Order: sequence, then structure tokens, then C-alpha cells
Amino acid sequence: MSKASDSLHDALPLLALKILARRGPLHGYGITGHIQAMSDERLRPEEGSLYPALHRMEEAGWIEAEWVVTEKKRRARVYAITVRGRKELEAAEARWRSASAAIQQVLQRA
Amino acid sequence: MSWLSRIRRSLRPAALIHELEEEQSFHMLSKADDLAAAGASLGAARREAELAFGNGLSNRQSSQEARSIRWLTDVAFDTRLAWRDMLRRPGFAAAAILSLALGLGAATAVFSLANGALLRPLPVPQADRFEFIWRQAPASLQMGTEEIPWDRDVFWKMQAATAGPGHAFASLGALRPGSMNWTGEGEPVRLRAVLASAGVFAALGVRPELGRIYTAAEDQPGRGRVALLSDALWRGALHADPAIVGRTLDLDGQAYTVVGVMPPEFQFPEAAAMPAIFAFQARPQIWLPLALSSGPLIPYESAELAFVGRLNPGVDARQAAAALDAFRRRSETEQPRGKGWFTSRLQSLAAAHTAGLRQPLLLLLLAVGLVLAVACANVAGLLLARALARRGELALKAALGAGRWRLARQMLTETLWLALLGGGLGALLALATLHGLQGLLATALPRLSGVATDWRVFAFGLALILSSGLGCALAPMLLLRSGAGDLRGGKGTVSRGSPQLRTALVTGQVALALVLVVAGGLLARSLQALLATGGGFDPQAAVAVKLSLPQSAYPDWSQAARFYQSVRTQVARLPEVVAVGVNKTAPLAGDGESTIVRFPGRPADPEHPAAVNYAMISAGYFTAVGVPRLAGRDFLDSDTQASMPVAIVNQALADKFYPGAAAVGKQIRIPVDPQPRTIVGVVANFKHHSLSEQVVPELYAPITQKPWPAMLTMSLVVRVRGTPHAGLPAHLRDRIAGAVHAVDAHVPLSDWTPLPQLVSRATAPQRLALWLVAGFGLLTLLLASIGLYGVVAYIAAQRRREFGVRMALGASRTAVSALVLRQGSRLALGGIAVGLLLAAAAGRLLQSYLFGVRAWDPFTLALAPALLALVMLLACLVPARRAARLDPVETLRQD
Repeated sequence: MSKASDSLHDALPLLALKILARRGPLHGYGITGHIQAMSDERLRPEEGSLYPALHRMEEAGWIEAEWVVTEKKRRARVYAITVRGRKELEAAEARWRSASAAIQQVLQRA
Repeated sequence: MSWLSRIRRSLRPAALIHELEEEQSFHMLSKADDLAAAGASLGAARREAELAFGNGLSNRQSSQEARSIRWLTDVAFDTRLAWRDMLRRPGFAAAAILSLALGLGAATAVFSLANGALLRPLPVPQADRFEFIWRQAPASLQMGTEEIPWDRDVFWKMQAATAGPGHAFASLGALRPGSMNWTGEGEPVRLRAVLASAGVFAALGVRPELGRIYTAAEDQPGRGRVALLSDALWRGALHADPAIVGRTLDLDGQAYTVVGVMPPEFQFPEAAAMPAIFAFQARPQIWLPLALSSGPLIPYESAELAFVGRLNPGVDARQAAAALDAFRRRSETEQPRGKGWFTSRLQSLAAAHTAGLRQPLLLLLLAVGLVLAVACANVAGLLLARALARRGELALKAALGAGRWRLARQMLTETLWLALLGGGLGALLALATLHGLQGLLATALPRLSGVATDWRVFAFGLALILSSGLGCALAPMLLLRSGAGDLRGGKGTVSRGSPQLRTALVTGQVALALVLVVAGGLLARSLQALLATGGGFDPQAAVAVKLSLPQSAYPDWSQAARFYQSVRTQVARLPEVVAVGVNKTAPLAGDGESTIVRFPGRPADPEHPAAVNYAMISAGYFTAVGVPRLAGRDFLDSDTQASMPVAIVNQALADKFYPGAAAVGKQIRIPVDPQPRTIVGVVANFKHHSLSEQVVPELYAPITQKPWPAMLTMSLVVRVRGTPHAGLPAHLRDRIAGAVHAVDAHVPLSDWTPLPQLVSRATAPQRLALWLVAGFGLLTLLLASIGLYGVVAYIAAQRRREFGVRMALGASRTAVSALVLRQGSRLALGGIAVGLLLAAAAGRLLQSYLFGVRAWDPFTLALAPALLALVMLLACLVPARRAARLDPVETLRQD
């Protein structure tokens, strides 16, 4: 496991929310795929750790889940972002931007 | 909603775990499919997918924590384990639950008694600032009562001196008991009345539920024809008439206008909280203006008043007492002859409400605390034994990684469930017991309008359940700390540490049981002594009934006296009647008058005036009540106002004032009488309030000679031929009523009371205390014997091998039984020794409840331990016999 994946752990909820907001309802495996694809395979979180993060967001009311049957006749749990989730996403994105800008600034000036 | 589903997922975790697993496997299957589609072999694709997924179990646990409530899941799990265990060992569970049910039930029952009496708020705002102002009898009088009534003229002076803005009291009021004949709807009905000045209601500050309180302007002599009704009277006899306010009632021949109805919980004054010298009746039905006049007393006016007041804001009881003391000093200066008669004592309504109840209830709570302690010790002992038996299992669990906390939690959950079940069963037992004792409770504790089972009882019960559960779990948890994780403790070794704990528990149980059995014994002996002493009269085959004359028809006392004389003649004519007489009150029914007497020819001692009780009675009264005449004669019909004034005295008076001489023929004088009276007879002492009272000197005058303002209500006592103990047959009652109504058809008869009932009413508090304490004593005895049985059986089981060896070496079966018995009796005797010490201390607490028996009563202190020893011996017999039946070969082959 690389260092990048470790720091990724904190950002995982943010990424998942963003993807659900942009791409519509997805199951956990789909979210993982999107993260990996969109980061050009640079972000490879431990796949299992996505689920506790999703479940915590579900309990917080940011996303909601539903069991559906896929084309391959498998039962999958599909997540969709809620109105509260969108508000949280906005706030979390702003926090992330401001934090990474600050880190960037320190890295440059140090 | 989300909370509900979280709780549901916590209670049934299996469904959630299944869902999480399904989601994970979908992920891995999809990934494996994608990898296989990209060209990997099926096996490699699966491995790769699992590897990328990471630790499935730990992720599932994190999810479970997010989606359910961890502790609830744990509790649900432990609960399932506990129930499974209980069902697997129903005997153990039943013993534990029953022990706790008995202990918790008893505690809850007593608490709900205490709750009703002590904790429930009074229906009067700020009851601690509403004060009774009791007049204190001069110490030299020895009247047998500390509180005496005030006079009318003192009220006006005290009000002027201590009430109003800037004074101690915001308002002052006076009241006295009364009763009214209500006519208008069929038979005349006697109403329990309170005559209260408007100031009483101003001080109380209670609002009526209908209408208004009467005003000070209505509380004036010549006016005051207004009435406040109790809720019970309004709802009962008046059928909750919604237009009651403004209606008139015919009371003693006068029309009274109803101005209001008081709320249901308003019962002022509470008769039981008032000194016995005031004849207030329980549950007043009607409140009327006192209409206190000024000027000299008029005939028929009873000036015997109780004073009440509400403290002004910012004034405390101490300052009010100082103001009353200043009033006393001023009054004594103005009236030097009244020195000593103006002393007062303040008692708040809150204090009066609990006076005399607090101590017995606290004592009961203490007793019930002992029962609960013994019950808990029992359960702790049972749990300990089981924990020891499960040592192997516990050690295995610990070895497999269960933390001590985890094991302790498991035990705690189990104990709490036992306590909850026990508590529930106990609550049912408590309700049933209180229901069974209701009749006795109502007479012994008249101040309880009912046993209050409200949220306080529920909260107390729950707190008790939780703390007793914790307490019981403590012992086996101590065992855990002392190293249950030791797998090596094989079956052959006898563990030493834990039996000590159980031994201590059992010793304590036996000791506490002895304390309660001794207390029960002392109370039983007291009751026996009380009943043996008796009331000084023969209650069998006699009945008392109250006659109330309407004042309008009997405006002067001689008419009333003639009425009673005619009633006596009429009733005596009935063939079943042996004797008949009248007195103000029946024996043991309380109430009485007292006076100072002088002895012609002896110098008066103003420092120590001779005070005696006195009563006006008719001829035949002593025979009717069954009080033996010791000397002289009874009153005769020929004792009239025209003949020589006569008196009868009781033995106490004769002994005190004529020691060593005959009282008959001597003269005695009541200061208000114009002439001294000649004593014509001496009767035996008899009692007026309780069987345990100190008998005081008493003087009787015939109603035919003595003006008697309170003669409107008298008690008629009739002794009949061979009436069974149960009471008067209805037809005889009708014939007596017929004889009375032949004289005056408008006189109501009320409160038919067989005299034996007066005696049993007088001993109700003692009987209640005896029932409860003896009941608790037997309970603890039962619990302690179960506890002892458990320990002895356990130790005997541990020593099986040793017994087998002994038998193999030639020890007889009796010798082996004796070994077990010796061990049991050592425990029991230890407990008895400790218990005797505790009982000696407890006896001192009981002192004020004992009559005719000392706290250190040799009979009780010998019998109680003997009883205990016998029961304990029985408890040890079963394990002793089992040990004797052991097969030595079998025991040696084991292990």
C-alpha cells in the first residue's frame, strides 16, 4: 500500500460524493472503478475500505441506498446522493480546496 | 426512522451481517469477472480481486458499527446467552428470581406506603409555611396531653398582636370540629363539619373547584349561613349537581347557602394529625363559617379552638415563635392569673402531616432493607456457586481471547435479567400483599387515602432492581478477578478462596434473619401484653351508636337530658337489652374533657392544681360498657337538679387523692359548679385513646345534674343478651333505632360500632407492625435457610472424595453426616452469635413500639435463636443425608 492510498483514506468520502453527484447512482464497485479511472490509476484505495465510508455517509443521510438486480442477475447495492449530501459535498470541496491551497503555499514558500 | 432501523439492526445483527457480506461478495465477483474478461485465469482473477479488496472482516465490523448501535448489539447478544443459560438451569433461575422477587416486592410495598404518607405533596401551597399554633398545657397540670384548646377571647388579642402587614403572620384563623344534621332529602343525615373562620382559608390559600370561599363579611355572628362542600359530599349525596352553588341546604333547621365545592384532595384538617383532644373527624364533608363573636361565652357554645396561620413572606418559624412569646409575656402581665396558659408551640402543616408516621415508616424501610440484603446475598451465593462450577468454561473462554470485562459484562447482564424478572414478580407480590392488608392499613394509617403507586414507586423499584442486580453480580465478578483464567484448576482440588466469601454471606444472612425474627417476636409479645391488659371494660356483646340532636329542637340542655333519659327507658324495655347508657364518646374512641378540681377542707396548691378528666354520663353507662364498680353505687334517676350533687370517680382518682381511705362519701368540687359534689361510687379504670395509655384520674357527673354544652352529640352504648362476637343482628339494630325514634323521630343514629371493633381498631397500628415485621422475619428466615443449604450442599459436594476416603477407611455413614452437619451448624451458630449482637442494637430502636416487654426480653431472645437453629438444622439435613448415601467406591473412581 502506497503513501498516496493512506492519505486517500480521508478524501475517500469526498471523492465518492463527487462521483455520485456527477455520475448518478452507482454501486460500490462502480465508484471504485471511477476513482481509479479518473485518477489514471494513480489512486488505488484499498477497495474494501470504501464500504464503511459509504455506510457512515448513509447513516449521516448524505446518500441513500437501494438493492437492485444487475444485468448479470446479481443483487447490487446502489447508492445515490441526497439533497443533504449535495450541501455537504459543497462544503467539503471548499474545505479541501482551501486546505490543499494552503499546503501548496507552504510547500512553495518553505 | 433511521434510529428505529438502527435499533432493529442492533437487536438482529445477523441480517445486517448477511447484507454486508452480500455487498462485499458482489464487489469481488464483479471485479473477478472484469479481470477474467481481461484475460486472467478464473483462479487468478478471484485471488487478485480478494487481495485488492483487503480485510473483509474488519471492514464489515466498521460498517456494522456505523449502521447499528454497538452496545445494544452486545446487550442483545448477552441477553440471548443469559436466557439460554436460565432456561438450561431452570432450578437455579427460579431460586434466584424468587429470592429477588420476595426482597424487591417487600421493599417496593413498604416504599409505596412511605410514598403515600411522606413524599406525596400536600394539597396546600407551601405547607411548610402554614402553621398550627398549639396552646401548651402548663407543665404542672399533667393532663396527659401537651396541646390544649385556645379560648375565643385569646384569638382576637393574638390576631391583633401577631397578624397583618409587618407582623409575623399574614393571616390567622381559628377552627373547631362540629357536626350538622342535614334534613330535606328523606332521613336526616349527620354531616362531619368543620367550623372555620375566613382567616383559615386565607391562610390555606386553596382554591375551590366550584364557586368561591366564604368571605370575612360572611364570617360574622348572626350571618354566616353559607357552606363549602367537600367534593365527596357533592358527588355523592348531592349527585354532582352542576347548579350546586347558590342552592340552600337545611342544616340543623337553618337554611345554608352553598358558596363553593372544595377539590377532592382537600381534607383539612386531617383528623389523625390533630391532637386527640380536638374531636376532629376524618374526611370532613362541610366547612361553615366559625362566626366567632366577642363578649362572654353563651350556653351551648364550645369555645375550644385550634389556631392556624400563614407566615408573612420573609418571616421564618423562629421569628413567629418569638412574636408569640412576646404576646405571651404581654398577656401574662395583663392577666396575672392566667400565668402559664399562654404558652404556644408552632408546628407546620408539613410537619404535622408526617408527625408520628416518619419514624415507623423509616423503621419499616430499615426492616425491608434487611430482607432485600438477605435476598441479594442469596442470589450472590447462588451466582458464586455457579461461577465456580463454570470455572472451566470461563477459563476456556478467557483462553480463547474473551477479556475479563467481556466475561464480567456477560455475568452482569445475566444478573440484571434475573433482577428484572424478580422485580416484576415482586411488584405483583407487593400489589397483592398491599391489597390483602388494605383493611388493616386503612385503620392503622388513616392518613393514607390509598397506597400511592405513582412514578416515584416505579423509579424506586427500577433503581432497586438495578442496584440489587449490580450488588449480586459483585461476588462472582470478584471471583473473576482472582483468576478464573486458570485452566489448571482440576476437579479434584478444593478451592479455598471462594467458600470464604460464601461463608461470610451466609453468616450475614443468618444474622439479619435473627434480627428480624427477634423484632417480630418482641412485637408479638407486646401485642399479647396489650391485649392482656385490655381497655378496662368488657367489649363483648356491647354496641355503641352516635345520637345527634338538632340544636333547633333542643335549645337547652335539660331538654337534651330528658331526651336521653327517655331513650334509656325505651331501649331498656327491649327484652334483649341488659343495660344501656350514654356518654360523650365510647371507650377507646378518643376525645375527652378535663378540668381542675378542688377538695373542700384541703388547702389549694396554686402551683400544682389537681387536673382530672371529666365526663357527663347517664345511669347505666358503666354496666353497659362493662366497667366493674368497685365501691358505692351507680347514678340513679333520682339524682336530679333538686337532689344532692353527686359524682363517681375512677380508681386512679381515688388512689391519687384519697390514698389509703375510702373515696365514697368524700366531697370534690369543679370550680364552675356552685356546690361541691359528693362521691357516691368508685369504678375501675378504663381507657379512652389506646390500650397502652397511662390511666389518669377521672370524674363523672350525671347528665341529669350538670349543664353540659356538648350534649347534642352523645354515644349510646347498649349491652345485649348473648350477642355473638361478630356484631349486632340487623333486626336488633332496627329495634334499638325504633326505640330511639319513638322518643324523637328526627334524631339520626350513626356509626354503629360493636365494642370489640373499637378494641381491634385501637390495636391496628401494632397489628400492622407485627404483620409486616413478622412477615419479613419469616421471609428472611426462608431466604437464609436456602442460602445455608446452598453453601453446605456445595461444600459437601466438594468434599465427596474426602468422604469416600473416610468411608473406605471405616468411617460410618452417621459419622460422615455428622461432618456435614457440624460444618453447617458452625456457620449457623456464627450467624446467630452475630445476630444476637445486632438484635440487641435493633431492640433499642424498637423501644418506643414495645409495651409490657423489654427490648432485652429473655423469652424472645431464647426462643428466636432456637427457632433459627432448628430451621438451619433442617436446611443442613438434606446435604448431610446425601453425603451419608455416598458410595465410596463410586467417589474414588471419579476423576
